[in-house]
Amino acid sequence: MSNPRLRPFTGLRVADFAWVIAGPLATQYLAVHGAEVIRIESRGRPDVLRAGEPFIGGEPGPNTTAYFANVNLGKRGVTLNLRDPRAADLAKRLVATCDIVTENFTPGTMAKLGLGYEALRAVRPDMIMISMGLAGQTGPERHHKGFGTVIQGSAGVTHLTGWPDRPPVGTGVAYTDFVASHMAAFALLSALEHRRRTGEGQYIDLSQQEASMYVLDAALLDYATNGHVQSRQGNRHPHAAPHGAFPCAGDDAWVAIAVYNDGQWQRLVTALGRPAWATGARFATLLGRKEHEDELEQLISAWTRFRSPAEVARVLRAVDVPCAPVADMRDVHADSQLMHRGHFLHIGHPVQGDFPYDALSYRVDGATPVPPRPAPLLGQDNQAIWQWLCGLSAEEYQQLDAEGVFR
Amino acid sequence: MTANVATAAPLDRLRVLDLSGYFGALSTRLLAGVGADVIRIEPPGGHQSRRTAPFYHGVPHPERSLYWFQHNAGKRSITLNPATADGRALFLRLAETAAIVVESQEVGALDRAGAGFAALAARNPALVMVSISLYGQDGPRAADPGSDLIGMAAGGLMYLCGDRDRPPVRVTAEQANAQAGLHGAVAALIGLNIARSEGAAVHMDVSVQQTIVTAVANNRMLWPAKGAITHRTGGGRAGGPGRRLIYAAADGFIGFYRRPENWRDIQRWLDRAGIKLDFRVDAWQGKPAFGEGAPPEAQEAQLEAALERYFVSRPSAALHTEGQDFGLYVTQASSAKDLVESAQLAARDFWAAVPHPELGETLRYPGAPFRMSATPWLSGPRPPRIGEHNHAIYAGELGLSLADMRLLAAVGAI
Repeated sequence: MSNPRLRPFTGLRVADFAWVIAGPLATQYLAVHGAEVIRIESRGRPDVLRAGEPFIGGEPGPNTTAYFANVNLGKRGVTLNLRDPRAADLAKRLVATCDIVTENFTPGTMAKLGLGYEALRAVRPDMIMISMGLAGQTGPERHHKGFGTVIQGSAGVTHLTGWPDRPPVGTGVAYTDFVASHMAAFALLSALEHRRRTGEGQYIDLSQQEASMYVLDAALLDYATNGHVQSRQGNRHPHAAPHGAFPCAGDDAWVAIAVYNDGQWQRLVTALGRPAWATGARFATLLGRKEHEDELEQLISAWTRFRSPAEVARVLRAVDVPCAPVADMRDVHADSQLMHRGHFLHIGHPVQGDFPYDALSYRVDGATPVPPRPAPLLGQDNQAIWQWLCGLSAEEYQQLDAEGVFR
Repeated sequence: MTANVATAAPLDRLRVLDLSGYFGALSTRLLAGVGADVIRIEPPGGHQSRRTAPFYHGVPHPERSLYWFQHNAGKRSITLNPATADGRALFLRLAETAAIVVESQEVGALDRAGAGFAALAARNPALVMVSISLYGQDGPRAADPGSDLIGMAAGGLMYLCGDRDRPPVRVTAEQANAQAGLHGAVAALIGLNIARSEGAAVHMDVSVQQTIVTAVANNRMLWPAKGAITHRTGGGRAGGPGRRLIYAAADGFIGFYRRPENWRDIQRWLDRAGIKLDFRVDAWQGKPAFGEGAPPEAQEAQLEAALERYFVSRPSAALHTEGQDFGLYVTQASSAKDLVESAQLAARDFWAAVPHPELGETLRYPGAPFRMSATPWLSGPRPPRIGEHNHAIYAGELGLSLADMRLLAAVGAI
């Protein structure tokens, strides 16, 4: 199961102060590929995800949440009460052993704790640190905070999601977490490359808003150069028709169909049985299909409505027309392709057992990267990290523990 | 924290061959941003995305696509058809000079042309090849046609997105393409580390469907956990009624995400706005906004109505500032105009001026997606013209004569 081949970061250590999704998902890449990533949490202010559904293997609690476990695969975990006056010194002892430090608290928090970049660089000069504020570490909005659920608004994604005649809807998930996390991983990997070449560490200021503005296609250039404000278009696409989700037999069942060119259109018409409406001049050209798109969508819907999404997909895929069921969460789990890819990782968890977590999105030479261990239980590695790695004596460790420093 | 421009970018002199389509164009844009020498390999006549709207001043032209501009700044361009024998030979020679190849051709197309991973690895045993496709390079669906819409549907995100009384929707800016780009960029640099530690070429095979599944994780896990299927809820979080996020402002919309720690600050906001209710919401501190243990429904409904009346009377930018100043998770649902005019982005000097001499204008591009204190982000130069670097690469590096280049152009190889 384990494949040491895919662990090039063995020997690299990360002090991972970042929480929720955007930070943890970034360092999870390093953990899966061999780095020793140490989550630093506190019992007084546990990671928000420690309270997130679903809870597996027991009552709701920090160790039963699969939400947390799914984005912290392969990591180790310690607890440290950062409000304790002795905590900063302990955190520095840990950072002195680390190559990377991450955090996404409200800007200024780390400095207030005595753990700003300059303070940490003093104990580990070649260290790479990333801060991931909502709007970055500078500027009039540097104190702003939020979650991916609303950062998708300030990054411009929400405005572009929904129907032209309705309010925007956003994506329904904490979407920018899945953008900012990847930008952060990419930035850290780039900084590691610079350090490999020069020996020099550095500080990275990532604004989740700015990073997430990279998923707007040309919307920003379109306004900056043409003065044109793009808006949400439902499922319509400027160069394609039909292009959207069509109703199917079943409860809230839909199929996505996308026709980009005349060849796909002709094959779709054939798959429909060449009905009279489809073979005439009205829809023969893209311009015609765009001009009569409302009517086109109704006619396609009349055909899909009495078929299951799977049946429509089978028929259209057979003639090479882009098509897929609009998968709900049950469909995702039953998806033969995802199973073939080994997307659902069953690596075992001491509390959650054999629950399916997400694999990374890629295979390496045909192999799915498997994390070296499941996500950490809250504070599970306290003794190993504080005593054996940071050099506290058994007496010191027990004393501090008894005084609540490791809460 | 501005980078010292004299310092080389992190990936300076690292060569990337870019055979991406719509999946992966962002991967190589990011690699160029951190200094890689990205060579766009275009079919003779130009890449398909040069014909993608919108266009500079609305005029369709392969050298004026803003979509192309956004995803190709900082790259060089050569024309080459790897399906011809001469094109393939040149591509294999170029692959010897590269550290990374990023491709999102039809699955199997490069193999059939004799330019797939095995052929490239034989020529360059340190190469990283990143292949990005909708479903991955093998498996029951691998050969099926894909696109942004199909990726959003097959990965489960589309089902969570939209109004309950309408079909599921995608995002009008293409997010399956974007996720493909982000995951592909990370995979490229992970691959570089694997290839280096292993001393062998490595093939990173990215599934766009899996990139989308990653983004729906908390909803997805509710199925194996308790057999629950979450549905779209319009302007809310997927997963239940009442989890509202979007509110109308006087001139647009805001997002407002409420958590149990927020009631006290909501009360402060109500007080400041002069909104009087016959109960106090700071008494609810610690209670979840929805579900078990939530405040009385009738009172929450009153609060909701009062907020609606207040929000719709105020500009969205003002609500964003007020809400954040009270420590609440409030943001404007910003349009491109709001972002281009944002005081925060201006204060951070986010925008990058990229000269386009052929257009006689300097365009304003999105700047660095992250700021590195020791190394620069490269916003330019402007995206390449079709085959702009043919001479530099084919004559300058590979030693082709001008006569050879003319001949290869005539047969459609370059």
